[in-house]
Amino acid sequence: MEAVLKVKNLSKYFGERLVVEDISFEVNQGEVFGFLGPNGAGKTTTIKMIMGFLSMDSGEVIINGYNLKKDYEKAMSQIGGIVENPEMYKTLSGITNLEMYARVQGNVGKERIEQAVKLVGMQNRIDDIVGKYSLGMKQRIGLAQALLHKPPLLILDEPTNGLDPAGIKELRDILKKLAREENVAIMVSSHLLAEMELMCDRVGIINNGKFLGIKSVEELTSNVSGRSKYRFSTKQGTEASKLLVVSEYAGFIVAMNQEYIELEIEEGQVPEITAMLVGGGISIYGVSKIDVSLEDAFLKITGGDTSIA
Amino acid sequence: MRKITALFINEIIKITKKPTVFIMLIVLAVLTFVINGVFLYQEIEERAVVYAPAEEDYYKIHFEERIKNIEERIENYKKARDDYDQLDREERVADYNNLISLLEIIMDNYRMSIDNDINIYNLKNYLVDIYEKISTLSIDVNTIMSKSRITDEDRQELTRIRDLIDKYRVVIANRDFMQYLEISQFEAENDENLSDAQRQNALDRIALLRIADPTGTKGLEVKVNTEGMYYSPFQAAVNEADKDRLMLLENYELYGSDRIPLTPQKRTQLTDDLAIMEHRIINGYTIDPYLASYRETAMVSTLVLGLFFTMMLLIILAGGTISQEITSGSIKSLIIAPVKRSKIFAAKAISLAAVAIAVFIVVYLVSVVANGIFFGFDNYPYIYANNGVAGHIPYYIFRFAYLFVDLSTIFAYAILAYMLSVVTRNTATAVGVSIAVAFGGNLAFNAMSSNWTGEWVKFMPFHNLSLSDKIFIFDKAAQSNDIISMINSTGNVNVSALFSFCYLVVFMVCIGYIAMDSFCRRDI
Repeated sequence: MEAVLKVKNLSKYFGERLVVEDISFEVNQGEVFGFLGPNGAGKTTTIKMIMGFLSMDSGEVIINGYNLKKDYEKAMSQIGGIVENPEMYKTLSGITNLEMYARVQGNVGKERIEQAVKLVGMQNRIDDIVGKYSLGMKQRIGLAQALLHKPPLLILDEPTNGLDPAGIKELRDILKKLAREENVAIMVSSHLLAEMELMCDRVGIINNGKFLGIKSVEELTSNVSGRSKYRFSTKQGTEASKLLVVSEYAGFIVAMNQEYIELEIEEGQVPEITAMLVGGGISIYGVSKIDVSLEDAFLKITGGDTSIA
Repeated sequence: MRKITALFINEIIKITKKPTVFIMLIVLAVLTFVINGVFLYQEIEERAVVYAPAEEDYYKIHFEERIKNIEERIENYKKARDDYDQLDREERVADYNNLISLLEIIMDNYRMSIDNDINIYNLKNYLVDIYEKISTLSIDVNTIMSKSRITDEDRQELTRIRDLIDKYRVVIANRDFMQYLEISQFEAENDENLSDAQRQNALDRIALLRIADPTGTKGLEVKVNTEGMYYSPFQAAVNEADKDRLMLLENYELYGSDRIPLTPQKRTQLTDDLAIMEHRIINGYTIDPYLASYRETAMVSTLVLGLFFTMMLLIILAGGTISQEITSGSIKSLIIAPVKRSKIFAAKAISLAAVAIAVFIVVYLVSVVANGIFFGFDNYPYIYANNGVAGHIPYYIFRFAYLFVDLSTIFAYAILAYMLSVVTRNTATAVGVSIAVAFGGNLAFNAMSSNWTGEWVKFMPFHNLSLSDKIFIFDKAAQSNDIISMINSTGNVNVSALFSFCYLVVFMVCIGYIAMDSFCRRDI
């Protein structure tokens, strides 16, 4: 597999603040690469650097063999994409917007534009002005624009924003098809783990400007899926922990104190543990599911070692 | 180049979707027609007074009455003479004969006036001039004839005078202006009372008339001014040229009522003025001093208004071109495209220039067409002179060129707005500051230059950007009305066209460079 996008040691300062710190990763032909991280992690900043919006303070970006700094136009012609929300000229129609973009790209015929419009299912509204589109429609038109010139690399920043569940599924199918059938390298950013699971082949995780590592979706799902953190509230924390430590659930304890005990278990184990604790004379006031943070999940997967990359 | 062209087309598409452009052009077109209409109304009102038909034949009735009166008097004198004759009072008889012949001369002159259509109450034209000469010569004849003893010398003189009178009568009868000029030239050459300068002036005038008015008809055209006086625009121009020429020949100008020698600058200016005046006279472009040129004022007013609109429109478009795209986020689809930012910048600048030129052409055509519909399309050309050699540019080409030069100044403000749009990324700031600078910069400059007159004042920013008033220096009508000259006056500092041009170029390059550098480097 050939890397279409190579990001090497990319850093960016906003004033004094280091917002992206020494990031390196690669995106291969025919794969959907997830770029995962909470809001403010530096996802968009990284994408903006790859797409020429922001200057790089250090590092380099190579797209299909072209260095972004040295061979800007050739490198950029390999990319199609959406950054943040897809913004177009509101007073112009969708088709005019696409035609304008096609004109600058060159080598995009009328048929190709029609094809792209059909692909995103916008045939009926393409002649309306963009100002009248909903966010979801703008996303679709944005995707059509990104695909017009058949780029070998597609970069989509939060592409599911504003899409309804049916739309998300459609997008997912389109992206998968593009990757499998047309061998396009696709990079998708998101702050939602669930989305990544369904869409991506590999996922890179970023937090606080630092790149934490890459895992395949199989690795992610085998570890994370099915297990969640559950908090058992009780006033007899010490007694409860004594019971648990000697039980078969000892390995799942994540935290405990006088007020509660937290276990990382599968849903089906909740009744068993509750029954065991109650049987042991512990009063349970409530059981609640605690969402695992992305970072926690990832740290779990990578065994707390953040140096993998 | 392909990419710049594509970007350029896109920019034009975006601009044509902005209603501002069309609203402003429609308002402008309406105003242009209204202004022309108002000026035409004024001209019609004034024409009714100024061009009231002269009562051409009134003098004939007047002269007929005089002739009758003189005939009666002659009858009476003849009776009186006959009475004295019977009394053998020879002195008295001679006196009466003298008187009668004098009256007969006067009567003949009146008849000559009536028969040849010479209105002596008219402005002094060549016919009146000859009439007066014949009158004087007839009296000379009478004086000699009335002598008690006529010598051979007198007889010779009589022959000469009578020949001359006959010649003059032929000129009048045939309306032979060329012959009149021949005689005038001969007289000027032989008149010992004239100084060399005066003689040269007279000869030059005759030479000018030979070319400008070979049939003499132009000099005969007469109008009535607001005070009811006869006047002739053609003759007024010829006299004006005479005055300038004499000043040059005698090397003086009037300083109050004193004559002072010409400075080299004044000499150059007078030489050019004279060349222009002669050019006007020769080609029939003389200006009517009594009828204000409503047509030209209307034309200049509407064009100035058009320039103002173009300037505002361009500042508004340039001031929003980058900042609006950044605010709305639409800049993204430009940045994502595989083009260098410098190309985006260039395409936007070129598209603004193209829109400016397109708007400018619309402004020009609307003004020209409106003016032509109301006043006709036969404007005088622009007449210029250089080192005493005059030439002219057809009116519509001249006005186009004049405005086009003004447009270059407007570009300077547009580039400023463009730069501010890029740097501040705020449309209101860019547009507001540019307009403030365009109008306030000159106020500030004037305030300063009234106190400081050093050479350095002309290097102050945001003025001196006007070129048209320095290139088309002979166009007085536009200069006093031109918005660009008004907001760019150079006060009492003397600035050449070349200086302004260089200043303009340096200004635009510097501002443009700042804008481009900022746009290409900064994060979006």
